[in-house]
Amino acid sequence: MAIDPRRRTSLAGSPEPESLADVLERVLDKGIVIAGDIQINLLEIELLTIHLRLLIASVDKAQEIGINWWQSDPRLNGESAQREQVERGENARLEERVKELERRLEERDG
Amino acid sequence: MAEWLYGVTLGGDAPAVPGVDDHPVRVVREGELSALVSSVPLSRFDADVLRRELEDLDRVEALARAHDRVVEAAPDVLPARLCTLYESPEAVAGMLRAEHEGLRSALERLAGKVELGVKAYARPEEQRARASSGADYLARKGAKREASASLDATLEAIHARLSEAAEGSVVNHPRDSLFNGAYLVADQERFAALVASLADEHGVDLQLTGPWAPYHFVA
Repeated sequence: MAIDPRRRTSLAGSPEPESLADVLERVLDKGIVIAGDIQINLLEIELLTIHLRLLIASVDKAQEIGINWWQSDPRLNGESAQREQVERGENARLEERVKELERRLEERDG
Repeated sequence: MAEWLYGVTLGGDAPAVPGVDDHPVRVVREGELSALVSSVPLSRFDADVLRRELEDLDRVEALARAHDRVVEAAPDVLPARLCTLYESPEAVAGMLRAEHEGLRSALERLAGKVELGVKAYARPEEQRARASSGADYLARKGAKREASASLDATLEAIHARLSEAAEGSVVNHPRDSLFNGAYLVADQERFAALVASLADEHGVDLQLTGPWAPYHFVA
């Protein structure tokens, strides 16, 4: 039986939107590599936005079910010298963004 | 104005969905290829403005979801990355001419196939059982190492079976799950049934995402 490839519900059973992380993983990093006329470095943005979003939204839930992938991520586990270097430069900026995101999440949920 | 590129098809029409910032989607044709594009104002889409705006998660989400919505509405499309922009429709046509061979062969290779994502999670009851073990610290460490090695073997076995049933496979960084793979498939139903049976067989929770355009398989 042929399935129209565009019908998401045929597999998922309910038309839920895909998670932002799954969309970003594809549109930021995959797809055809053709240089447009306007150059944007997306990789740096991907790292910050995805990690921040997941950290804020899911760290408690993840720990609850035993997921702790960030412990092996040198950007997040505090064990690598490289990460410490990055951290020194980025800490203040990241803290600021976390506060902003927390504020927005509160606004959304409140 | 600039042209925002969503993707390329073989002679397709523009899908009837709104694009980024609700701009209409149209095609730029060159030979047998069609580029799906929207005209966008430089006031919001030149490099400096974009770099600034992409610091805002809400903006990134809006652009990403709109971009993918257009991609997913077009059958057999080679998706472009977010923020692939051209100065004019003529520049888009020039790109199609320059990249014609590579684009056509990729489109032919991927025709009729879609990408499915598979993510693995531990089943909740198994996690609870592990957590409630009353063993001492060293025993817990040992058990964790063993459980971890056995889990790795399980995930490898699952990925091997899924890869056999697919026409391409890629393993991604797991992020928020135990495993994250992308598979290129022609028969979605058969693949979904295999995923369900592997989940039962191995006692892990396997979640499907998609179908997606073949983002991971364009090269």
